[in-house]
Amino acid sequence: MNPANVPPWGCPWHGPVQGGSLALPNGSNMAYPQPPPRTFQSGPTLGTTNRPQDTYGITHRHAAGLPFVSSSSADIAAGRQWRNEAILSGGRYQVHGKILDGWVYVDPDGARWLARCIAINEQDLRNLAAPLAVTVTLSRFGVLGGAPESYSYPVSLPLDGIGKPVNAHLMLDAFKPNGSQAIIVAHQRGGSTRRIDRHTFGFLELTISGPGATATITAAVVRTWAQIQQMDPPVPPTRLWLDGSSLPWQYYETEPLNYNKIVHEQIGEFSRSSARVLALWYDAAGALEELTMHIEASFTYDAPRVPAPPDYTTGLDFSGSSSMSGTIELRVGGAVVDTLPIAASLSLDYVAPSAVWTFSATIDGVHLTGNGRRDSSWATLPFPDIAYIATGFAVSEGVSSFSFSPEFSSNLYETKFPFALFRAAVVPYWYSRQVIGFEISTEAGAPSTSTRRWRFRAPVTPSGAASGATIDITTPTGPTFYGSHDPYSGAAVWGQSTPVCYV
Amino acid sequence: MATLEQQRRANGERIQNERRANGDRIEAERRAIGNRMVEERTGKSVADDLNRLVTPQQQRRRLPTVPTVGAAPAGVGRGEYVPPAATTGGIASPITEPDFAAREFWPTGLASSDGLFFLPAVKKIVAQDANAAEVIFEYAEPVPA
Repeated sequence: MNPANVPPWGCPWHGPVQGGSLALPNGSNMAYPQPPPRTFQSGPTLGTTNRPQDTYGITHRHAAGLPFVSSSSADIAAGRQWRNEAILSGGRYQVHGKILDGWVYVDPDGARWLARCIAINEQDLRNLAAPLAVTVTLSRFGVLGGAPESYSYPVSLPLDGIGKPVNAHLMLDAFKPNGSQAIIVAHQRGGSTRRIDRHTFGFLELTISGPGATATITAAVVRTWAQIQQMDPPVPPTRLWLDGSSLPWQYYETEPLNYNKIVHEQIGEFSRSSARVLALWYDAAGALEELTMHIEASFTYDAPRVPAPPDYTTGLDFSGSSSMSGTIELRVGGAVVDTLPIAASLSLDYVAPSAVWTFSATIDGVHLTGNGRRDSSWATLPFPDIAYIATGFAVSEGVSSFSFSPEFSSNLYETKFPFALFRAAVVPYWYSRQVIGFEISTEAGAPSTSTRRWRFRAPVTPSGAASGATIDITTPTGPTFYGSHDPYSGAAVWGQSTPVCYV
Repeated sequence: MATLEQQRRANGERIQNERRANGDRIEAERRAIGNRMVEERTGKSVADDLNRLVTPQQQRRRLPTVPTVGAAPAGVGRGEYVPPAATTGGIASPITEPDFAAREFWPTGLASSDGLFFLPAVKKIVAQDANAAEVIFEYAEPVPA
């Protein structure tokens, strides 16, 4: 802490920056450098378009002893805030309008060092089957005057410890307030015109200790592939039976081309849960906390075995039904921050040659209902399926499916009838690395005339649930939504159509 | 019992003292009469008597003038050059710092409000005056509040 007769100095301009304009706490605006994103090629199937991605803030809470905020009446009138914390802003880590392309490490002596590792660049693909040798450079930072100092340290990243030997991008994802630890996420990414999705394989933690000139830097896996995606039970229970056999997920037995001889039944109940680690954050005290997405659902099937008349167009009398209900949650540090109830039911009554069906579902207050009648032979359908709700919230482990599909796609229900379409999906949406919420997409109606909707619920941040009304849109493309979290005040802004970032 | 001789001596001393006292008293009275006559002639005693009969008005006192806050206005001063004494004392201008490397800093500095940046606090500057005599400036350490 400075002597009492030394006035505060530094950068007193803080607030959200959007379009190069900083909104000051006194209600006025001033020109300010917009924190830029880190640009990269989006992926093989997305071309080479560089897109803005992350807008976020990170705090270095190391000015111990300094007042939390110091503002005289003149400062308040002018919109100045002398804060005892700084914020790294944007994809290139901007501080007070200056791009650092690195983070600040405060060593035990209080000296500041700019830490950089160019190998962790979000662009290059790294093989997770073997360790990766990288170099971390510490350069003296924050002292006005004096000779420059810089030290380089070799570090081995144990990528093979993740347990998913695929190619992935490495990205710095979080920093401890004093910069002594950083989270590296190994992921692939895909997306749409509206968002870039993260398909995470694991997290590593980089640890710096000791004085900057004689530092020790190590890396360790903190979340493996097995730890970030958990299913209980791991494999869905068998629910289809084929003439007495119990081969799951197959629709034919011995004559695959003759669908009319297929006989199914589906009866019983089962529950299943799923959890996926979306992000690792450091809290104000420097402890790691998880942001996880949980799905818990129970299913009931009452679709008895279809009798096998000689002719499916006559004499067949069959009915079946199924239902499911559950919740999808976002949890921070184990505490539920956002809950999304889901429920669906489907029934079918078939008296040859007509089939009558009804479907209803509710997800986040959005109701999907439909019913219909079809008077034709089952033989005209791809196969004579029974009534059931497809549960697609299981996480596919195939690399191909990870490449360009949502990280945690959960196609919850979809009728198997070709003459009607109902489906919904809930995926996490990254407004920034600290602002993450649900995107809910629904589709209902005939395949050619279905109605699609997208909902964006108020997201969560390291400070808890953000405020703001749900956004409803009906256009499949754009806009890209941005958001940012102020680690100093806990405020958050989201759902913005242009980049926004706290400084 | 005192002798007659002793008694005569005592009576003589007493009479002598009484005479001296009477003389002093008469002299004082005469001086007082003289002073009173002087005051009456000059009117001082009358003025004093009149002043006792009226209530004197209190005099308003002006507050002392306080210098205006801020920089003092430019003024013109005058000085006379006094050549230095032909001794080894004193510092001759200009004072220059021949070697920046000799400058010393306190380990603590003046931190920005967020603690990220530090202005170094000078501890010691070794300089020399126009006569190449060494001049050392030693500055106080910024003591945290």
